[in-house]
Amino acid sequence: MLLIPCPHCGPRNQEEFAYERTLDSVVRLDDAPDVALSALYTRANLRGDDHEIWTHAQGCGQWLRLTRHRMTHAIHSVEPL
Amino acid sequence: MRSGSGITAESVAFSFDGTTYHGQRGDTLAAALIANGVQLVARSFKLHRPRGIMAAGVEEASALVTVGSGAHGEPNVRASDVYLYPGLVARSQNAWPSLRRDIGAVNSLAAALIPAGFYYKTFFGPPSRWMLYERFIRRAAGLGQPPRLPDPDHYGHRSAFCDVLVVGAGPAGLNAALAATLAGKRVILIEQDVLPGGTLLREDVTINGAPGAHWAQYVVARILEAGGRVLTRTTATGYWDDNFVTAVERRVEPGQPGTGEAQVSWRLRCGEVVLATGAIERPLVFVNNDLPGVMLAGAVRELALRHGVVPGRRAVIATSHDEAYRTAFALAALGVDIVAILDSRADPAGPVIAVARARFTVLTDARPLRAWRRGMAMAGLEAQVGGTRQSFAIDCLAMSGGSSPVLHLHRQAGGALEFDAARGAFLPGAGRQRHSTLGAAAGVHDLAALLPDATVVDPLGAGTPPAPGPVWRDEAPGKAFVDFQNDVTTADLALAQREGYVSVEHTKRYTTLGMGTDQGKTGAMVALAQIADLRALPLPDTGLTTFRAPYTPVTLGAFAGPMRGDHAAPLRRLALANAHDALGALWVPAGAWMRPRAYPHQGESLGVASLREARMVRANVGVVDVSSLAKFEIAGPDALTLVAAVCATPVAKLAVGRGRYTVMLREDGMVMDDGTLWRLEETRWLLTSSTGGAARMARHLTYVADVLLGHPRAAVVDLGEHWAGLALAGPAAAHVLAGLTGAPVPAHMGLDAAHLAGVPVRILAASYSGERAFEVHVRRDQAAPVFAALVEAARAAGGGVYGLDAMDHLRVEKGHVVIGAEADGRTTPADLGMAGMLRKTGGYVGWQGLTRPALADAATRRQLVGLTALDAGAIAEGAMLVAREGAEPVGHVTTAAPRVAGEGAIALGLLLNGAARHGDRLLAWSPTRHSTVPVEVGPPLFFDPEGARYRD
Amino acid sequence: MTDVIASPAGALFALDLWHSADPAAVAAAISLALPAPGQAVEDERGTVLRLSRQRWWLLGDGFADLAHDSALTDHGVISAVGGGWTRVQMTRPDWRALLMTSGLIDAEHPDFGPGSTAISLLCHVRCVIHVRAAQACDIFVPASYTDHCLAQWRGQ
Repeated sequence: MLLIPCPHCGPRNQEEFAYERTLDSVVRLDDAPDVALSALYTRANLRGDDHEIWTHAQGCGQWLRLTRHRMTHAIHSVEPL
Repeated sequence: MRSGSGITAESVAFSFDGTTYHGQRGDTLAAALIANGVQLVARSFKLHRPRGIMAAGVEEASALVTVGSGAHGEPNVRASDVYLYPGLVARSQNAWPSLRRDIGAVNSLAAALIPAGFYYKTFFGPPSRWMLYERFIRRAAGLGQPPRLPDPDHYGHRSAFCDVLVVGAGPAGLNAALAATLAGKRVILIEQDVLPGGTLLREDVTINGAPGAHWAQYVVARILEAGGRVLTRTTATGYWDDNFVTAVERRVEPGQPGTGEAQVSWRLRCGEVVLATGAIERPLVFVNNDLPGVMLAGAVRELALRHGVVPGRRAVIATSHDEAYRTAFALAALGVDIVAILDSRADPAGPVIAVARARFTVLTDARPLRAWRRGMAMAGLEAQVGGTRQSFAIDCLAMSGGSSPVLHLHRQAGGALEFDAARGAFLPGAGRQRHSTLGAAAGVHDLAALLPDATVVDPLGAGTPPAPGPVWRDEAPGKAFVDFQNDVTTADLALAQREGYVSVEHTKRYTTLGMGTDQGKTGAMVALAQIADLRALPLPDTGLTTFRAPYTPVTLGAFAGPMRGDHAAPLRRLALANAHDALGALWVPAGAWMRPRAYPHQGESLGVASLREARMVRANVGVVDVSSLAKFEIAGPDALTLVAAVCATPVAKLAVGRGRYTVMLREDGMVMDDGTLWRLEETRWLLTSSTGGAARMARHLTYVADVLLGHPRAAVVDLGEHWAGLALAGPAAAHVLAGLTGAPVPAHMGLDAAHLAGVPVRILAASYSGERAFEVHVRRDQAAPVFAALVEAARAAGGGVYGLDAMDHLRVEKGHVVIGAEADGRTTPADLGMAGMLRKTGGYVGWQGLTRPALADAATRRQLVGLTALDAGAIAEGAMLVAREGAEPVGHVTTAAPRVAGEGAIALGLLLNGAARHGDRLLAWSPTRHSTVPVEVGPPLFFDPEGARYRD
Repeated sequence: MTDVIASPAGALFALDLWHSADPAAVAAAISLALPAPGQAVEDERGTVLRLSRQRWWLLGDGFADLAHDSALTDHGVISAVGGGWTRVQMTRPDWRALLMTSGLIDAEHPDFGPGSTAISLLCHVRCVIHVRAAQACDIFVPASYTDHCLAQWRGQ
């Protein structure tokens, strides 16, 4: 189980967090339909570091941007959103 | 009376296969059985060959027994991994009618017909052949039988955090744990044995003047004194990401009844992990190397020095390195006749060899070829000694083919392996997490090197590190085993290679090598050496199978812990649960909630009660608890921005004090949730949504606010628990409510504050039933008097309470959708007939998704329809909508209900191009429920189509 | 058992400040200490607990008036939430060990002393923990889960 350093609560266990999506799949409200659908359905699946959105759902509720390695699970950075 | 480093004089009675024996406190079942002369302990898995005890710890592959009786029974317990307690009852497995006369042993004769990969070969050929084989395969699968009764034991869960976790309380682990504790760190030391000491329990050494086992006790006492935590009889089962280690502590032995927690499952988050997990000795490969009496040399030494037990009277030691020589001295000290030491090396030299040559017959360039038995136990050994063959009449062979560092946890943690050719073993390479490996697990066996600050006295001196001898090349005919638990022989490995299953992962599946409870602890490296030889490759090039958790088998109850029975999952209770009970509620789980399904009268069935309750609402008035609905307040100057982003319906023009129905979409345009949106103040909104979607909606709202909108000045406050909700519905509802509040009721889709039963409440005039209806919101902790007053007033008006089923009947008749039934994640607002409600300007989550061309083709969309049964049968929920039985389904039934107003059965369904098919006749066909009902398709609205009843 | 007492949270308010608001300035304007992450402060009006980056909990009747204080409402909003929470007061000396049976949070850490707060999963339920004294800890449990959690804690 990953240990994720929440900027507000400190290092906490993965079970308190919820994975949301990769950063490149965020659909902005004002995105044109083709941009939005492309973000939803045609995404990269990186072998390496990726940017992900998580939330400390069972803790402080903070939304986070993680840089995490897809193979090793190593978390290189965590920033509040 | 025996004496040893791990036993006391106390006598302990136990039984095996119905015979009572006595052992001593501290004995393993294995030691006690051997002490009582019991050599035959088990029958092997596939071939039913007689088996005895081979190892001294968790690596025992053959001697699996069932311990305990009735519900306490635990199958597949390693006889060397259960410690005697008074009344221990053990039984052999995999043998019928008895261990000695096992009918299954004919398998051994038929073995030629059941080669490796037999299971897979049965898939070729006609299916009828598989049907025949399946019966035999299923009967042969598994070993011991699990008890059929509920597990009476209690299991606990614990968490712990530490700076340093040390796994293994052998000399290296003890030393590391003490040093870390004295350095002021939070330390946890875990040991799978009941005693600390590891190999010190089986070696004749002194440390700082004390016998090794005493030194171990002393170190443990110092660790505890300095604030460290020591968990014995605790096995680290898994090593996961970020130094998260799971462990299972046994507080009572297998099969032992107890009052407290039988096992505790630990979750350990560690700053640093030190793996001092030791090494497992390897067997030698020769014909009949599985006979009772053939044992690992270290295990024999442990029996002798820890338990004072000798496994035979005449023994041969067969080895490829110095360490096993120690066994000869240990056995000789107990009066065993050491017939010979067979050393596979041509010219061994060193202090221990010199001493051994002076006392025993040491034969070099010598190794076992074939053992034979008399009755069920070993009687002799033929060996290759130089160019000649010699035979020995012996009843015990202590063998050692080197040793394998226990690297399971290191590998699970992502650590690398490095092959050491001299040792013929993998050693730990670089770790991926913060962990290190010490002691025998890192290939270091020399005590003085492990304990540089201690005075170590070892009369035999340090020897060469364990190393394997030559591989087996079928020098004698017969079965030579590499995996004792799964009956895998060298011939099976060769067959797998011949048939093309050369990858070690393929060989494993084809031959069952390394499977079972043992997972190749003793056999894996031996098999790899054989495979490498067959393929003429260096051993590391053959590959290695994956080390998976758990390291040793874990009882299922340990995973569940206290989460069982009523607590298998967290249950949410309504504030008014007791009041519902007093009204005779029949409960139903709805997600995590328990909700009243109906309130049946004496002798009334659920269906009759629900229909009565629903008709009560149509005719008069009813009260239903809707507290579990999600409720959010969205407040702040930018609240409208957030609400407009989440809700797909027009919101900006909603007046203060008014509400309206709304839907929330996913980004792909599918309906995520629905509910009502109320404007409490200019900048304060209340959003209700479905019970089951509450957690998702809470997350969605903050996602939209924090991620999409960049933190508007609006707070999202989850008040789902704060407000209890009570709905009052029916033609008499307005009159009843006005009587209770003494104030006019709000108009349909209006809201008001009031006092009811002396308690401040909020009243929302919304209807789900199709009748004039109100939701009364009251603080959960003040809900009881409000509910009591509502129920009393409803009853006085000829109504009463109603449950979830009646609510469902009423809404089906009105065609209201439910999230999870009609809005099943595949339906758009248009599919549900709500396209006209959407904001034309977009700007809400999901607007882009709705533009997908695929959604525009009605012929490919399943759309909401009403279904009316054309005969007296009830429509089955989940039934397919078909033109005729067996035809391709064109839709399905989402919710079925009886008509409340009138008779007969109705349903809601999703039907391809359904909006254009009103008047069509189809079958609602459910082959699994043996139900076929002809239905007519119509609009999803069966009652009061004008909506006259719920308006003011 | 008398050392695990459950009661409705009562006068409990959530204070949400806008993302752009400066907590220190708001705190000064309304004369209320707004504790740092992981901290709680108690005074005669009640207890203030930090829950997240911009959310505090105000526990006590004295805080009700703040809801209409423009020094605050220009920067955030106050909402009554007490109906949804049960306050479980643990006064047993081994409360830390008890939490270690229920969740995966380092309640035994020497820094997790009086005045500390945390939100974590206990008995699989999101709970707010407030260490009041060496031997006293309040746990705020979502009201509907009260029986579920108490059954685990009182069974130990």
